[in-house]
Amino acid sequence: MSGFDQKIVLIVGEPDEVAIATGRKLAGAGTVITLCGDNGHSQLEAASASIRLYGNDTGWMHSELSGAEDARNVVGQMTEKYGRLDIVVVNLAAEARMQSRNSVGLDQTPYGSVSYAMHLIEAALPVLRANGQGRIVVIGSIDYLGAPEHAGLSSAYASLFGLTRSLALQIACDGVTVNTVVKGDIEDPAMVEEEKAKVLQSIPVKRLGQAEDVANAIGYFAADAARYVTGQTLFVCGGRSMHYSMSI
Amino acid sequence: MIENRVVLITGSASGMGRDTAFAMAAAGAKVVINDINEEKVVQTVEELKAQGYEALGVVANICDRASVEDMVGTVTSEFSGIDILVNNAGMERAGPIRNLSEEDWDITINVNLKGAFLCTKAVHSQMVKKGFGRIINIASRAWLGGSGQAPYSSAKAGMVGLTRSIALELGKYGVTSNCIAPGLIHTPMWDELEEKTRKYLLSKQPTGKLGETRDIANAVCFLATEESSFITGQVLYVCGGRSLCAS
Repeated sequence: MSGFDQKIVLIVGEPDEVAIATGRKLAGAGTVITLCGDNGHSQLEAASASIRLYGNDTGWMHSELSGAEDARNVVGQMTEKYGRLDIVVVNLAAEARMQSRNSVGLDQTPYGSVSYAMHLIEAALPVLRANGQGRIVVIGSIDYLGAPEHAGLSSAYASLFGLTRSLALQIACDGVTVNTVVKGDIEDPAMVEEEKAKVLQSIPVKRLGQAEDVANAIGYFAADAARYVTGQTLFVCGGRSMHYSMSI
Repeated sequence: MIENRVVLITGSASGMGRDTAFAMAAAGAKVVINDINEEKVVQTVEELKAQGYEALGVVANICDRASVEDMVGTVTSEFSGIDILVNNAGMERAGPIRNLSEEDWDITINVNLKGAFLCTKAVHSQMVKKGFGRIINIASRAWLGGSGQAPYSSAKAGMVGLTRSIALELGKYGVTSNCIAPGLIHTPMWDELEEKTRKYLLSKQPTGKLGETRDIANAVCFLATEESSFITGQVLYVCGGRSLCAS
C-alpha cells in the first residue's frame, strides 16, 4: 500500500483482533498508530506491542469512551503529540456488544457507544478537514440488518450506518471520506464445532472470516486510492449479506 | 497482490478499461486487452509492452458465444489460464422510452449484460478448477434507475443480479464475484457532454468533483487481490457519495 507514510492513525474502541490486525496492516504500510480504549493499561500496552512488531512506534491512551469532553480530550492529545490526525478507525461495535450483553430489552439499547462515536468524529473533524484528505472508517456489524434477540444491538449498529451516510454527504467537499466496513462472522476460538458448522451454512465462501479480512478492507478505505469512495458500506462477510434485504 | 495473475478486461482498448489495464499491469499482472476495434487493441498492447508490461490483445465480440470461447481459448493457451475477469465493456443508448427502439434495448442489454454472462460462463470452470478466481463487473450507479436510462439501468441492474448469483454459486470454490458501481468519472464521454449538462451533473455531486479512471482502477485492483477473499456478492460504489442522495 502506498501513500501511508507517517500518517497519523487513531483506532478507538476495544483493542480486539480486528483493531490489532488493522493496526498491523496500517503500521506495516508506514503509519503511526495510537490505540485508544477504556481497557486496563496492561491490555492496551499488550495490543500496542503486538502492532509495534509490524512497523512504526505504536502508542496507546486510556479513555472512558464516554461524553463529548472525553472525545475532545482524546483528539486533543493526538494533535498535541503529533500536530495532526489523518485516519480515524471507529471500532465501537465491540463496545456496543459488551454494553448490551446483559440487556433484555430496548431500554438498554447500547447507544452510549454510538453517541461516543459521534462525539469523537465531531471532535476529530476540524483536524481531518485541515488536511483536506482525512479518512474515517467505522467498523460495523452485520447484525444491523436484524438478528433475533438483538433488537437493541441492531438498532445501535444501524445508527452507525445512518451516521456514515449522513456524515459523508456533509463533509464530501472537504476531501474527508467516511465509510463503514461491516464485519461478518469472524473466527473465534471459543466457537464450538456445532456452532461453527451452523454458521458456515449461511456463508457462501464456506469459511469464517479472519480479522485480517476486515483489516484489508479498512486499509482500502483508509488509502488515498479510495478518495472517491465515501458514505459506503462494504460487507466483509463471505457473501452472507446476500441473504438479507437492505444489504445493497 | 496481483503479481503474475492473468487478467482479462473486456472493452479495454480505451477509457476506463484501458486505464484499469495499465494499473493492473503496473501492479504486476499479465493483462489481456479485448475490444472489437482491432486498431485500438494493437495500439494499447504496443503501449503496454513499450512500458515493459506483459500483455496480449484479443479482438472479440463479447456478445457472440463462439467469439468469446475463441478468446478464452487463445488467452488460456498463451497465458495458461485466466485468474481475473473484469467485465468492463459497456455502452449506452439513452432517451425517453417513447424514443427508444427495440434495437436500442437489445444492443444495450447485449453489450453490458449478455457479454458479461458469456465471458463469466467461458472462464468460470478454469477458476473453479484452480480454486481461485475474481470476477469483477463494472456496473454503474445508474443501476439504481435513471430517467432516460431504461435500457442501460436495466442492463446494469442485471449485472448486479448476475454478480450476486455467481457469488452464491462459486463462493465455495474460492471464486469471488463483485460489482463496482462508478458514478461520474472523467472520461472522453464526459468531455463530449454539453457545458450545461456537465454543470447540472456536477451540482448533484456531493464531492463537487468528478472521479478519475484511476479511482475505478484502484477499486478493481483491491477486489482482485487475495486480500479481498472474504468479500463477495458486493456492490462497491465509487461515486464520490452520489449514491447517497436524491437525483
